Amino acid sequence: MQYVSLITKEKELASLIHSDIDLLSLIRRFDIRLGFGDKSIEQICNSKGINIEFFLEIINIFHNQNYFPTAKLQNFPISMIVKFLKQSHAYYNEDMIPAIEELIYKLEWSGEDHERHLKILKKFFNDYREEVKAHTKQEEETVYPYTVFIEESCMENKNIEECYKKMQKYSITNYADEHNNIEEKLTDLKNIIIKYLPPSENQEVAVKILNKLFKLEKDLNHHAAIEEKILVPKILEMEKNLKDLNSSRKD
Amino acid sequence: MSNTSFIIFEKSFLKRLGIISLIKEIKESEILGDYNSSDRFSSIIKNLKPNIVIINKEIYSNINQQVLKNLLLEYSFTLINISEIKEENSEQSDESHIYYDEEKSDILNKIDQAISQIRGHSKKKEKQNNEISQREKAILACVARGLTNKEIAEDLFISTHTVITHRKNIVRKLGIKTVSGLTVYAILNKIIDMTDLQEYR
Repeated sequence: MQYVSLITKEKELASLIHSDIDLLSLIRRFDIRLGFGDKSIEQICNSKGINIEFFLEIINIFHNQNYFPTAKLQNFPISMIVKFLKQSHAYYNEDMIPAIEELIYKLEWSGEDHERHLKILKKFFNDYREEVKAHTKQEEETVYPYTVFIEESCMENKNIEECYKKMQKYSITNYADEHNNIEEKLTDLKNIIIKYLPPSENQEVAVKILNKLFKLEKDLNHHAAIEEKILVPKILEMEKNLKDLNSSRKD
Repeated sequence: MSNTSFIIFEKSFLKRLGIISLIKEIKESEILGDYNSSDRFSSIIKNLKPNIVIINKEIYSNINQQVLKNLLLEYSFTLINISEIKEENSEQSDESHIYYDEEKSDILNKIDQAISQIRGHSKKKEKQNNEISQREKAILACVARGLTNKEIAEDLFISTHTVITHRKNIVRKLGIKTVSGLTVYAILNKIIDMTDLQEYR
């Protein structure tokens, strides 16, 4: 049983941000800019050409910890979901991760340890940044275009042959199996800073880093849930339909 | 650390709802079920194996005390009674007891206490071996140097199976999963020298 009060389209965007500042980084992904005035979510979505239902579901997922309406979300077109996921990638790669990196460079230790500790951390974070980049790049270049193509073909009942060929080369099950956990290094980094790294001289920087790491982790968890519980099952079903269609043709 | 699990027995729907929403505020807690009577009490406990049972006094009095005793022994859960008013010279002073007219903070304190008691028990068992052993240090050094499980096994004259077991234990003890994370730990704790690693030069 869940007892959540959902955000509705009548809600003023300004008061929503007052009640949950974390949503600000989320609405930026819909290209909504500050200076909302008294406008409601509905008004802003209309003026920006944003799908209100989709916008509401996304902010409700991020706002309410236990809210994840799988069936409802699967009704939205893949292209819409993918567009949002890409915007999230940009937020991770261009905003969040550089900000954390900048903070890591500011950490200071006394004496000889400084250089050593910084070198270790820089190397670790560098690896992490590259891993996230590679992961998101692979999704944007291979996985997402594939899902959009499959959906389009299924909807318009065209390119079935080509779809089937693509499916034989790459299936969404590959993705589900390989969907490697970019959260693992993040969790390790949290533990390294909290438990194992000798305390830096400027603790306030370490605290800022941790705050950002926790925020990024939470965001990534939502992101992965959308991919694994919405994108994958949706495409799986379409693939199955295509397979059936293909085999019935041959008969 | 796994979640602390709760089961609630309370007649009134509204009160049950209240207790549920309170428990939901507690970190790492989960509610396995909520019931309005003592029907099937034994089988519920046996099947769900809760850590904490919050139970209304009236429902509590309907349960055969011998049955309850045996269940407590076998499944070692903590009972928290909940009732209207404090009875003077109540006999169950050693059991947790919450009252409907208490403030949120008092109730949460009592539940917290019950949780930390349970955690205390399980922690003692875990604590004993959270130190990294010499053998594990040797394996950590190999992992940091980028060796595969097979290479480590050959280096240390042990089976690959043993290497895997050691690695699992290291990950559990340190809370670090990835090779790069383990490498950082190994360097910080001088298990390996940074200059020995190609990528840090």
